[in-house]
Amino acid sequence: MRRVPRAALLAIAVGLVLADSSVVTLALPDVFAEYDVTPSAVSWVLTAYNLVLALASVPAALLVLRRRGGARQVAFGGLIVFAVASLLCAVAPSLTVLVAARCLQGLGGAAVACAALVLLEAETGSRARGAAVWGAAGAFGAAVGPAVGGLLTETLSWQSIFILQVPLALVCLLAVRDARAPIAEPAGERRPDIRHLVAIGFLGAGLTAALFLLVLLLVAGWRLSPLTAALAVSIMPLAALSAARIRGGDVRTRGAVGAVLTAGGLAALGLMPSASVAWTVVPQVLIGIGLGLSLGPLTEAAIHGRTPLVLHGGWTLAARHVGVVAALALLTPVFTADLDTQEQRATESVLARILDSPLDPRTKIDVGLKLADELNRAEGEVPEIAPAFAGIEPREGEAPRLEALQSRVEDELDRAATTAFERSFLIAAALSLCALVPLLLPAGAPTAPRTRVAA
Amino acid sequence: MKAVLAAALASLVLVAVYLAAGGGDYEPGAPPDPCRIQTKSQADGLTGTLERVGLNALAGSACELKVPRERLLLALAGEEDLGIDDDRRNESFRTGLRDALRQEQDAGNVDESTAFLLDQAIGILPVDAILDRLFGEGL
Repeated sequence: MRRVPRAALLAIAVGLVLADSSVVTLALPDVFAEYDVTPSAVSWVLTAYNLVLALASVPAALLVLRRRGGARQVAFGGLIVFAVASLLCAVAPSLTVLVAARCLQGLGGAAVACAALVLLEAETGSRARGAAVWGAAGAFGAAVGPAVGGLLTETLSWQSIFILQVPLALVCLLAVRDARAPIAEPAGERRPDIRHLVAIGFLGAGLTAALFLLVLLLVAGWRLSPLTAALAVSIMPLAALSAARIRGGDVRTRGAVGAVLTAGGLAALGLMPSASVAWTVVPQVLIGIGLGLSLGPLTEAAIHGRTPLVLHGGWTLAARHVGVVAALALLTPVFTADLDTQEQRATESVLARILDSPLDPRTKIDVGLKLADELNRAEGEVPEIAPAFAGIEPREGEAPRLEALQSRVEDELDRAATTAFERSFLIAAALSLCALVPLLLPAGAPTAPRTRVAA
Repeated sequence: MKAVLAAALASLVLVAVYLAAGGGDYEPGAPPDPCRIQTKSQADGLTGTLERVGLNALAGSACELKVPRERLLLALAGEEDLGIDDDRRNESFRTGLRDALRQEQDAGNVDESTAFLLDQAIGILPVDAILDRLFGEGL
């Protein structure tokens, strides 16, 4: 196999692994409905994978280092484990099995991602180019994950996300089989680059929060279809890809700018003036630019001049996914509690709207009973309002007032859903700002490189 | 440093625009104060009277118990726990019903004998049966 297709396939393998950290975000409502569990339990489908990726990345890197030719063997084994685990995810009969399969996927994924860094270095013939392709593939995968997952969930099913990964992983095996032998390591600093790793962790938390919360707000809160939500959230990766092309600036400045822009975008998402996708556009652009400017260069800086390459690559993966897991662990209970509070507020405000509406009392009772049916059918999710009103026969002259009531009820639900995410977005903004702390501390670590890596 | 300040400025401007456009206040409407509710009905005759009695009773009882009218209705329907003793809550609702009935009688919407029968029903019927009559399919 030629060098470019081999490098491309290795990049696809890295993208696949990192995409899996966010690909099921838009499928969560469907998974939630399928297994009849709580929102907190469903969040483990995301958390488990990222937790295992965080914990297994450094051990996987050490496994690669154990013997000559280790990268090829570890990547091969990792891809097989990843493919088998993906198949298990698709056929999981319960949430427990699904979460266990996701853990196995994380193990395989950590092995693939770490070994691919060494193989890409050999394929591109340069440490810097290999690291650049590795970083770009990972960031691209993580950013487009939710959109691809949403597309597959709507057009096929959430299981199709995992089924599609099996042939992709198997095709990537071809590149691993024919991969070049790793090149010799130059001498370099052996200690992990704590400063940049901490910043990567906080920005990883910001990225996860942005994707996870926004997708849930659009699908579960504003009742958009997964496909529409996928299109809406694709603004963020597009902005990130564009911003990654911007050159210049030292890595600390880029990291600080990225942290501030990401925090600004997240704060704006926490202060939405109405439930309209249009209001998410500018914050998404800001977050995308922030992450595009900072994540890739920070990853390269954490690897630059350090040896062994695979171990430091493993540290960057671990740092990023510790951030992801911390964000999920911190934000899930917050927005779950806020959803409960807002559900109660919405019930009261909708009831007030119905009681005070200028309708015949029998129509009011009809509306109340049909809404209660929809509420029961929704099983804890935001109910569909249109079907409840569609079945009501208005009395003479009541049609416009009934329409006004429907619009007010929908508005109350949108308000409650949006408010439920407010605190979580603001906490995520604070997490992103925390990345400034390691970046603005006085220099003491090895000099960071000028940027080359795309985010 | 200039780039960081520019990023901070852009973020602050965005947040300020969102706040100015109503961000932060975009939340579900608060239920009305039950002590200030003016009940009206779109229906005539007994249906209208029963709606006014039900809504006025609910508002009066909620005012006395210092809870939103909507929460009281959910509690009476067994959907929510107000943290108030059930007997006290039900008694307050019955008192509210009697007061509302008196208002309707004073306004000339209910004659003396009907008022007497309704008053007896309020005293005898379980609260859920009364609720079904006023706010449920029994209306």
